[in-house]
Amino acid sequence: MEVLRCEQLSKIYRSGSAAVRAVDNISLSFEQGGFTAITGKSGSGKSTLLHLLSGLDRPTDGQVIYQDKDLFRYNDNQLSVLRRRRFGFVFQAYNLVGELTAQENILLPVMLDNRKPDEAYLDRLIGMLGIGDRLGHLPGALSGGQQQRVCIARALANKPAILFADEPTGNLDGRTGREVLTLMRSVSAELGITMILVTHDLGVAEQADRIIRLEDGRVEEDSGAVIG
Amino acid sequence: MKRLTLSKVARANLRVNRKAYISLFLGILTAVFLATATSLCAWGTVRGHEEQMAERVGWMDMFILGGDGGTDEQLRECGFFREIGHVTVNATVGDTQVCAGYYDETAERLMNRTLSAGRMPEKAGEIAAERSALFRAGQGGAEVGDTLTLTMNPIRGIAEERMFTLVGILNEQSEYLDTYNEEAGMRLPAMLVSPEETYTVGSAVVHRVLTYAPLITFNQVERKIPDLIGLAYGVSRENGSMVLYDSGWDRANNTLSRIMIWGVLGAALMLSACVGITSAMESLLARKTQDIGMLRAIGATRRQIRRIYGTEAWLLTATALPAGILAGMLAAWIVSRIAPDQVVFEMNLWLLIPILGLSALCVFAASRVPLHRASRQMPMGVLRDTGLLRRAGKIRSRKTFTASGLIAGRKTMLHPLRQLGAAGMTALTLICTLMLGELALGLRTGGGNEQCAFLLYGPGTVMQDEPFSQVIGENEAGVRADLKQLNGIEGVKETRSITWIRANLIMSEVPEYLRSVKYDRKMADGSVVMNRVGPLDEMWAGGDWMFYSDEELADARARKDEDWENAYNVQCADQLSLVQAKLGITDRIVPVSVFVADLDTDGLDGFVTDGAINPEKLDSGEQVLLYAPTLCVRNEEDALAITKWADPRDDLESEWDSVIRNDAFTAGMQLDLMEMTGEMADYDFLYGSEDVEEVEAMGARADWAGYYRPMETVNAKTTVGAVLSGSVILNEYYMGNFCVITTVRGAEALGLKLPIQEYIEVFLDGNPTQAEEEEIGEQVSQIALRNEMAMENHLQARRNYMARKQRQMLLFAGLILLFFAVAVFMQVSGTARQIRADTKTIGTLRAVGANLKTLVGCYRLPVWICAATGLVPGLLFYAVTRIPGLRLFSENHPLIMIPVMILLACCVAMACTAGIRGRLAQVTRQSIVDNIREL
Repeated sequence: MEVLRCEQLSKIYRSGSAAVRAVDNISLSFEQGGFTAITGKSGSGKSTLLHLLSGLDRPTDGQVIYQDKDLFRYNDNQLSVLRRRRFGFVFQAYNLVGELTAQENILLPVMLDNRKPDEAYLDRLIGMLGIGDRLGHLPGALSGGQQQRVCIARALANKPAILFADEPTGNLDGRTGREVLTLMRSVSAELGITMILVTHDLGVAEQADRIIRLEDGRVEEDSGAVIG
Repeated sequence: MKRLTLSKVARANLRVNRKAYISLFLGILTAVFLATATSLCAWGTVRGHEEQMAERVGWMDMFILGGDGGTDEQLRECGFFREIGHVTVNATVGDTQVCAGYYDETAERLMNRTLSAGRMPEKAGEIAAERSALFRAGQGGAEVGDTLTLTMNPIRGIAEERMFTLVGILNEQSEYLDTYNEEAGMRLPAMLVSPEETYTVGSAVVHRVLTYAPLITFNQVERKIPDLIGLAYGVSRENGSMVLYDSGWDRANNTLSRIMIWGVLGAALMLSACVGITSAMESLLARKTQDIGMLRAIGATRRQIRRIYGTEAWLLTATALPAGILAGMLAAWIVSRIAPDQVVFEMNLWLLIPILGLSALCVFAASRVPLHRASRQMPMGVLRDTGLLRRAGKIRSRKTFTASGLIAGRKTMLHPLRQLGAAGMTALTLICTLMLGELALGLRTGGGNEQCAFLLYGPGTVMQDEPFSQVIGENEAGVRADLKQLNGIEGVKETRSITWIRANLIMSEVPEYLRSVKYDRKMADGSVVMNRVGPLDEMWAGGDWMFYSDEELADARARKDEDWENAYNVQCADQLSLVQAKLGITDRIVPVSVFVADLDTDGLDGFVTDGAINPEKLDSGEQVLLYAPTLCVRNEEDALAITKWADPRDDLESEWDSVIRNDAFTAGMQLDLMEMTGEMADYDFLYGSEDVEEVEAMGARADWAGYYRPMETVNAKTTVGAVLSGSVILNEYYMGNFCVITTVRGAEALGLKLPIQEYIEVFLDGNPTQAEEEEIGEQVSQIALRNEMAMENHLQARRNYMARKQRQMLLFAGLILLFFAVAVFMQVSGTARQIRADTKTIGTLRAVGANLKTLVGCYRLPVWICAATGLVPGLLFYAVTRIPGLRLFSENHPLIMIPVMILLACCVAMACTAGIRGRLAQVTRQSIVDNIREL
């Protein structure tokens, strides 16, 4: 079953007279529960595509359709609700709120939604990620790997439909990176979460069900089905 | 290759980060602006006052009457004086003390004479005069161009009739510089003539007017060179009057109190500018963490780091100076337009010292902390905010929370001082509101309780030293008759006068009630001070002598040199026996004051303890009223014995140690009044002579002729209509001591001789226009002046008061707006800086699902904390103004000011929130990716 689709998506960055087509007329469809890896060289537009798919950035042209509606037709409030309930995002640079403790960072999307946290689920998540003893610390006092785990916990805290991850292992050493990835996979598989991941690490990409390779903003290779 | 100097690095920095420097530049500009505006306004206040006063007393510091003291050369050489001018008086006018004369060039400048009309005399036969001098010379109505015939008495010469053309009306000055010297010519001239004006027989008196060398005061001159200055009088432009005591300390103190308001305002504003500079500098240096780390890594010392970034601040200051000074001058000019009689605009090169000094102090103080913090950074600095982590120890992780509330709380907790400046501004806004409220309340009451339009007051003819008699000159009846013409002036509704008469009660014995009680009060230092409480109070030594037995009198006589009370008691007792012998009275004579007024008896019934007030019987002289207060006394340890003019209704016994109660005077009681009046015969004996032997000699021939002048005695019999007690106010006059009260008609019916009124209140019909009122005032003032009474124009005073209040209100309204705007600006710009620094966090929050409302929530709490923090000093100030006895404000503000202040603080917070929402909306219009990418 299709969960997310993009149609003729383009993003053009203009700087003076020069225009860079970061994403050039891409149409893709993503199946529920699937694990897609988007790869490509630096500057191939993979992060931009992820940002567009997750609604963090606006395309120059084209649509991202989630539940039969274009993401960019939502108003700011609706989009905010969508982000906190249905999407999870793991950043390469972690992006934790510096004034909040690890635990508070994890709870942030739940609290923004004014809901009672599913404590059993969160405890299990935190246990699996192995950050139980660091919950009371501010991000500044955590190591990179710990921060990334907190970021993943935050992205999964609301049991999202889709988990977007932008080079989640990029700042981590090989072993930690593999551990983090395994964790993401197992949690996603268990909850039936669709995972879309950007990486330039082929070792990471190989674990995916589907690999999309970009070059110069275009899909160069797609191991899954292509629509339209 | 050219050398790379530190200032080149600094300049390059300025170029590269131009935008980031703008907020720092603005902060410094504000500091320079405020330093300039404050300095100019403070200086303008001092100068404004001085100029105002110089119109009254000129620019001189001292004057020496006659040829007294050293020669001009000696005075010049002693180093105490800068300039010497000469004022020549060559005649007095008529039989008055008014002097006529002329100035030399220096004196002309130092006397600073201004004219209300016309010009100065230029040739013989021309004269310019003060209005009061014209009145004294019997030419009150003269106008410029009129020809006056005046009897001129040349000094030590022969009187001549002279015709003058009045060419100018001088503004009053001699009134403020009056020396009260009775010798001919020994005053400064109130009429000016040309130097060509000479007399056939006569000489002249030359007075000298001087200015001091810098830092000299009258006290120093008087102490150091008393022989050189002779008969000298100081002139104070602080008070606008002649002074005989003038210390530099007092002068500085007065000046300081005058510019205090600017000092407080300026300091508060500059402090907030400092906070602005500090936070701008902090955020600027925070952006440069990596640069600083790099500089440290390549070997820059801490001092060099401070120099590089400190030089930036000084370069910015140099750039901001011209614009800041110009803007400050403009602000001071505007203030001088709003309140022209309080602040004059004057730019003076010396003022650059405080302006530059204050600006430099601001920049130096404000940049110190951020520079030190930056220079302490380690090479290739760790990007972690160590301060934040240090404070993080206090944080306890929360399991449930409202995202915006928690983030806002953490921000406030981790950066507690960010709101300080804006909170200070909020407090100033509120305090100014209180001041405005105070002024508005003052406006409602209209500047005091004086209800009459004009108040005339006379010299007062009753001598305190004489218990039994009073001086009433031959022409006093004439004066009283002349003053009655006040009632005839068109537009005058009524006049109410108060006259005090000294009279006596003839009684078989002196009632005990009149005896005063003495209380010894122990002071903290162990000394004992005697306080006297009684119906007669301090008058005639409390009347002790009335109760003396022969032994007591002999004792007092023996000890009369020990203190003035004994001497006085003896003198009074001696006079009593003289009067008794002369008049053949064997009964006791009890001196009493008689209060004679155009009496308003409304509202007095509550104070009647016995009998009833009957206005007709008062007017016919059949009855009088008696004020016999009940006095309550308590002797407290190391505190004044307290007296109270208790109301009859009060419960008297409970609170007081003792009560002095009238048990002698009742309604219906017959009173034998006796009044003794006459001209003063032997003035020197009582008041004039300082020659002790002469006084002793006169005391030795203490008989009727030596002691007492030709006396006229009036005896009148009347009855007490009603006895009053308590806090009685008659015609706005607070009753204090035991006295007889009657109406003017009643006093006349009793045949009492009346001296000149002490006060006359003039009330006007309806609401006259200002022109009508000036017309009436002119007529009233003519009558007052020709009868030697001074006049206060309460209508004019009230108008001036209103105008001044309105200007002040305008000033405060402006200040409220200013502070409000500055508070909002500081808060919003501070938060905007934070938002810029937090853009990545904002992007993150948006990515995890926060909307604009949540984001605003994250920044709202500090705003409200700032408003609440500002409210605290506001409320404290309000509480202080309400401390009874402190009298900081003329009136207590009603409680409504509390909600008004809270409302205003809320307005500040809401305006800030609106500004912050706008800024955040701008941020959220960008995509989340842009937010996150920003840093």
